[in-house]
Amino acid sequence: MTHELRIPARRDLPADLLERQKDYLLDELLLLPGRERRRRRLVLVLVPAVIALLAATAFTTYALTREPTHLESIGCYDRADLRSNTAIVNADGRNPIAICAAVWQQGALGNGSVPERLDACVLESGAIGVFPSSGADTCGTLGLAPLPASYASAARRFAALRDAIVSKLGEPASGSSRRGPQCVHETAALPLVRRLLDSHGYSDWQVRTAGGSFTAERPCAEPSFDTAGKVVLLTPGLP
Amino acid sequence: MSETTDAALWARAAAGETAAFGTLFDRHARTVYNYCFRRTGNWSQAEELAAIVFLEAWRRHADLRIVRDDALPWLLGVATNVLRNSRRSQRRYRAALARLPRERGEDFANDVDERLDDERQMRAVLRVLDKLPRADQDVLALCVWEELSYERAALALDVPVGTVRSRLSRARARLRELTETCGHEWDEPVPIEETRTT
Repeated sequence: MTHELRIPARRDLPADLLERQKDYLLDELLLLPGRERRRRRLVLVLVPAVIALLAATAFTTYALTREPTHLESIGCYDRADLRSNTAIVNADGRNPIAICAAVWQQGALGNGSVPERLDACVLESGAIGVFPSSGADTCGTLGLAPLPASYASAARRFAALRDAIVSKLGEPASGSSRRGPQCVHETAALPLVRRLLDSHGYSDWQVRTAGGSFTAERPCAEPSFDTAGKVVLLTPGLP
Repeated sequence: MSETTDAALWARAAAGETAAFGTLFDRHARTVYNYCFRRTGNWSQAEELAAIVFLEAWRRHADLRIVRDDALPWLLGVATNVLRNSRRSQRRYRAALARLPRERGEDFANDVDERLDDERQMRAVLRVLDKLPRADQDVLALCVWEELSYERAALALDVPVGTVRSRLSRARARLRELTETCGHEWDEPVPIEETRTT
C-alpha cells in the first residue's frame, strides 16, 4: 500500500492582514540601521606574505583611525562577536556603554545582569557597537577601531539637533508607542527642519520626504535621521 | 505604462524611500510566505518568518545583488538563511516580532480545516525530505517547488550553476529511493520532478 505525499497549494494572506503587515514593516524599517554592511569573510589562499602584511598594516591603520558615521543608533551585542545577537537602540547623546548597560539591565540582552565590562567600538559600517569585554583589547580582537574621544561631542551635538526637531514635530510612532501630540504637515515641516539644521550647524544636511504621499489620513510629518547619508527624512504619519 | 523594476525599487528603497520597499513587499510577499510554509509545514510560523525575511532583507540591502532586475532569487536566498538560522533570527527580531500584526480569528475562519490539512500534508513531505542533506533540500525547494531556473537558484544560494545541477540530480535520485522503500508516492505538483530552466 502506498501513501500519497502532496505539496499543498499556495495560499494568500488575507488582503487586510497583508496590508497591516506592510504598514508594520515600513514602520519597523525606520528602527533598523538601513546601511549596515555585514563583514564579508575573505578567504585568501596562497597570498604572498609581503602582500598580506601590507594589507594587514593598511587595514589596521584604517581600523585604528575610523570615525563613527552613524550617530542615530547603537548596536548592543550580547557577545564579543560580530555575529552575536544585537539590540539596536536609539542614541541619545549619552555614553554608548551606559546606554547598552541599561539595555542589559532591562533584560533585553542576557538575564538582567550587566557584564562586568563593556567596550564600545566603531564597526566597519561606521556604526557603533558595544560588546561585552573579551579581554584587554576587545575592539582590536574584532578588527575594529575603539570609539574615539571625539564621539562624545559629536553625539551630544547630534542629540541636540534631534531633540530640537522632535520637540517641533513630535516623537515618531514606533511599534506600540504612539507618536507625540504634534502634527505638522510637510509644507510647514520641510522649511522648519531646514532652519533647525542650519541653526545647529548642519547646513550640509538635506531634508526630504519619503515613504509615500502625505494624505488626509496620514498628514503628519514624522522625522527619521540618517547621519551617514546626512539627511532627515519626513514620512507621512497618522495624526 | 511599464512596471517599475525590482532594481529601481531597491535603489529607491536604499535611498530611504520606504514606500518603494513596500511595493517590493506587495510583489514578493506571497511567494516568500508560501516558501516559508513549504520549508516549515506551519502557516503561523511561515507568517512570522516571512516578516523576518523582509526585515533581514532591509538590514542586508547593501549586500543585494539584483540580476536581470529580479529580486526574488535574492529574497529566497535570504529566506533560506533565515530558515536555517530561524531561532537566531527570531531572537534578533524578538522585539520587532512582538509588534507583528497577527491573524485574527475571522481572517481564516473559513479555511481552518484546510490549513490544518495543509500542515499535516506538508509535515509528511518534510519528514521524507529531512533525510536529504540540507543543501540538497534547498535546491529541491527552490528549483522544484518555487520553479526557479538553475541560474536563479544559483543566485539565491550563491553557488555555481553546476552545483545546483548536481545537487538537484542527487536529491531526485535519493528521493526516488526513499519513496520507493517507504511506500509513498508523490502527487501533483510532483516534488521531485525538475522544472524547465530558462
